[in-house]
Amino acid sequence: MADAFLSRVELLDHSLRCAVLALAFAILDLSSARAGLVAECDEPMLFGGAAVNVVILPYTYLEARQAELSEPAQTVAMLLKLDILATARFGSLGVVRLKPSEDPKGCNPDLVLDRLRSGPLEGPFGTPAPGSGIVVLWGRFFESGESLYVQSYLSFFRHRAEESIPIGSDSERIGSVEARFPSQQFAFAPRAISFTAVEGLVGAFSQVNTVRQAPHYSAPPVDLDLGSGDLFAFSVQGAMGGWLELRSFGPQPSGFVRLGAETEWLLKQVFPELFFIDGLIGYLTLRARHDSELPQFSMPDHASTLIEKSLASYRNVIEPSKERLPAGLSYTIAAAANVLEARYGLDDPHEAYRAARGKLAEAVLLLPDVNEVLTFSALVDLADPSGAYDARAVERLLSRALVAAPRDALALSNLGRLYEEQARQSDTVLPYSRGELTARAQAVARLSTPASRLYAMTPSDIIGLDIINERGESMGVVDDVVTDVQRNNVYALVSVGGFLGIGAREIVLPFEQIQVTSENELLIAGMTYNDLSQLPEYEASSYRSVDPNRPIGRERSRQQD
Amino acid sequence: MRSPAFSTYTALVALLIAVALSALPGIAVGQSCISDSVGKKVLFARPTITGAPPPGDVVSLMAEVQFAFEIERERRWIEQPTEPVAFLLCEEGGILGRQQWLQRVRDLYYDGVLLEVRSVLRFEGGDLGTEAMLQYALAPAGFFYTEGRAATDGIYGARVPTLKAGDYIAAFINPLEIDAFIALGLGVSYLDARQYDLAFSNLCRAIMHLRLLPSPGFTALLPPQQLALDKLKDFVKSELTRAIEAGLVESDGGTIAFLAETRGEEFATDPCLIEDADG
Repeated sequence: MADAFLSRVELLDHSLRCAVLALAFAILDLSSARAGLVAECDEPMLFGGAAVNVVILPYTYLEARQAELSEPAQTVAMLLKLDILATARFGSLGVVRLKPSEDPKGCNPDLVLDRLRSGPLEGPFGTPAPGSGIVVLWGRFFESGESLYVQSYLSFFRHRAEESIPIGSDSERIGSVEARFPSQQFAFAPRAISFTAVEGLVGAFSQVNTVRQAPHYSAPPVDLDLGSGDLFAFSVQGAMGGWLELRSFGPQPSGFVRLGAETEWLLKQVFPELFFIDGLIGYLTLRARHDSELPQFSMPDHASTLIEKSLASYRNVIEPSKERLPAGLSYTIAAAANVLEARYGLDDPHEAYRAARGKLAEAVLLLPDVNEVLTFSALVDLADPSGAYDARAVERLLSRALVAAPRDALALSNLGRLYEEQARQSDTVLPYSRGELTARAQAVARLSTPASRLYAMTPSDIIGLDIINERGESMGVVDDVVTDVQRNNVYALVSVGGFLGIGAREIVLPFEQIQVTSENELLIAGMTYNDLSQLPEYEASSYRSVDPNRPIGRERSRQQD
Repeated sequence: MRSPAFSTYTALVALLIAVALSALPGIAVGQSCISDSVGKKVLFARPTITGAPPPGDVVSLMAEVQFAFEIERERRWIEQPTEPVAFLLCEEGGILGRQQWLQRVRDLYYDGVLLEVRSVLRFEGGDLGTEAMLQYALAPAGFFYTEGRAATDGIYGARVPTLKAGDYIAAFINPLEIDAFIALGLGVSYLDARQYDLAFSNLCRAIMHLRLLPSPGFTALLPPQQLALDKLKDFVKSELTRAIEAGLVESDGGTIAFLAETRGEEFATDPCLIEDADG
């Protein structure tokens, strides 16, 4: 029983416990394996050898009075974990279910995400390789009448690596440019589950809570008590005929649990997010295989096809118009997989780019006002090795990206690059003369100068500088440069008010509101002192410091470091 | 699935906000909720029930709608406005139902309030009714402040049929109304702050979303609602014109000037470049 193992593990101090578990996992090679683990929110552990770690936080009730996890809540979390493991097709996957520790706030998603992004993440199972993927899933329940509502949240990033999508190369038409996803943290729409469906889930759970020595019902069952949240580590040896073979590391029995097709079907109808997560895992695994420090591991051929299949299944279950962001994001993830396969030499570039362009066209329809999507679409059009792009359409997409994000350095530089590239060609497809194209490129350069100069500065350059208004009066002093843990937006931490440092407040000023003058002063135009003092106050748990010597512009697209 | 008892009752929403407001219970005066939070914010309150609600269902119904609002409050996970926008549950109310609304609007505007969302559920018991509706009214604070118009000019109501369980909750999922009005509020705010390119960008986003209202799942607008929406569209267009004119004059070489120069005639007729945005 897991209880017995837990009681033994809990008697050990942390370092010894880590050593025991490390020994247990020393024989586990995650290069082509799947493994599961239960850990505490305060000390999230990940599988160091996995290309992707999926971390599932406890699903909680919306209302405080229902803080204790009910049976459905635990059931759902456990089933999600096993389903992800059972249906994983891309290899090298670790799934970690976190459980609350003594501190009830320890499982706050913001705090856990901060630990996962900034913590050393050293544990008995190793340290995640830079470039490996981390997917964090959490959610909440609400019961009303005869229904249970569930809403899931998802965040994804690459460990100590930027999540930007390289497009083209130095030798190609547009040089080496990068695109970004429109979001890496978002909410799925709530799903309503009838109690009948809940009963089905509970029934499914009773099956996966029992391990048998052979993959058939006649084999003697042993209760695993998986729902208790006990520390329990296992590797997945395989899946056959709806049975999942678990290999336990500890006193619990190894054996088979039943997660049949009917359970999977039920889960995915209730949680189409599982389709999305499967596609996302595929993308991150593809990325980790080629852009991480992990040893080589095998992946299915044409992974992008499998990735798109999963993401298309997600879109088929939901109404994309009502879930624009995740639906649009699903297209961009699939397109990114196409682009990467071309880059890695895994697919014919012409085919890959044609497929990517089709998906991004759909993404633009869903998210016509999102700079990242417009830019991604334009860049892929430009980089298509067939050369069959409509320069006017590309120019328009990039102009629309500027409308959506007028101060975005990436949008500006991409537009400038287009004009420069067209000016070099003898037969430009844009309706401008070479001189006009050059003039436009220069106009973009002038336009981007103030923002570029600001974003080219490092935190060390601006810490200690005064923030001034249009009359040149000091409004405050920059104490630090931080990013918020949710979106990675950059803020100046500004000290306002007080006297001789006493009584001052630290507020967070969005970088978009700062202009740098020709004298390298930091100007906030159109803001009064009252406006400034009304900005959100700094809270350490919501922000994190950035590298003081790294250009601030690089922080904008960086998801974690 | 909704309790069978619910089907024996009908919930109807007040079609005009004035009617709804007349039925609102007294709203406590105070700003504690609003002033406790800094930055841009959206106010919302628990739905107001009018008529004769079925006792057994009221708690459940309110809880469900509350859940939907809570989801809206969590839209920081969904939307990406140019700066964070907090969703505040404020029982004391903001603009709606105020007598001295102009002064109130001004105060709220300076407090960073972009808009207020309220819902009113009106029940009519018995077998006469066949549907239930939820009204979703938005009041863009910046609109009142800038225009100094009557309060009803800035109120937009949308109705949601609730024939099936969870319909109205579904309608709260990612409605374009919230996107449109947050963008509108931010645009007006940036325009006041003379940050013309950000004002331009947000007002363009507002125009793009306003074109698509009402959201999927909402019923067609009644004439008064359509009139309110048309007025808001006109207002956003006039604000956009102001932003462009000021941007061209005051920010030498800015994004607006660049787009005006490079997009030429197209910018003059469609400055947001959205005419073929959906294909």
